[in-house]
Amino acid sequence: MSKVTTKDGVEIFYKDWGKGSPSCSAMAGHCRQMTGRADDVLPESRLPRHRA
Amino acid sequence: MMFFLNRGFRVIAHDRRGHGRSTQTGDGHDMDHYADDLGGDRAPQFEECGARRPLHRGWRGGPLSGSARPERGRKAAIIAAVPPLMVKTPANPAACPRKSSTVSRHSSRRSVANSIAIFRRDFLRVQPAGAKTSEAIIQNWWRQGMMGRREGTL
Repeated sequence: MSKVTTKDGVEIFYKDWGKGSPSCSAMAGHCRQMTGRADDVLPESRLPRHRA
Repeated sequence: MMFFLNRGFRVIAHDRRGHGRSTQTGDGHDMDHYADDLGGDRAPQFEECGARRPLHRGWRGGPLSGSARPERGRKAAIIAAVPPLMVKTPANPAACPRKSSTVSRHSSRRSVANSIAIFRRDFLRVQPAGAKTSEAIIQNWWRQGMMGRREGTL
């Protein structure tokens, strides 16, 4: 299985299909066609610190 | 994935931490980690698999993975992205009220399975006029939600 490891030791699985120009598909959860989080509004404990 | 695969692209799709076939971690379920895991300095994913300057496509929380290091990408397609702050506060009056989040958290304490089912039923049935609801997709979403670590799903 294709995985990368983050700095805090978490393995992230990814699919890598085909050849040619790379396209990175980032959904909200699993690497599948129809995914998502169970909470559309972030709980207070998970308010982002990230400001892109 | 098949749409781009059939048009000659190499398609890379990753889990979000705690989901799918990735480590069932309970830590780091915040936007900073999501952004860094695949697009930031924490993971050299694109170098490891040889994909340099890819086209990023992201839906909801997905765009964050490409936002941490935008210079790594070639183009970006951002679909229904989660804004940095979704919850209504005095400084953010146009955002979503906290009430819906509270309801979700309350129900998840009693039953994760029920909470996922309720949310996904409501989420997927908010469709454009004339669109059909797929019970199979709803069931598949629930199945995948149950596979994930609770802290990252709810």
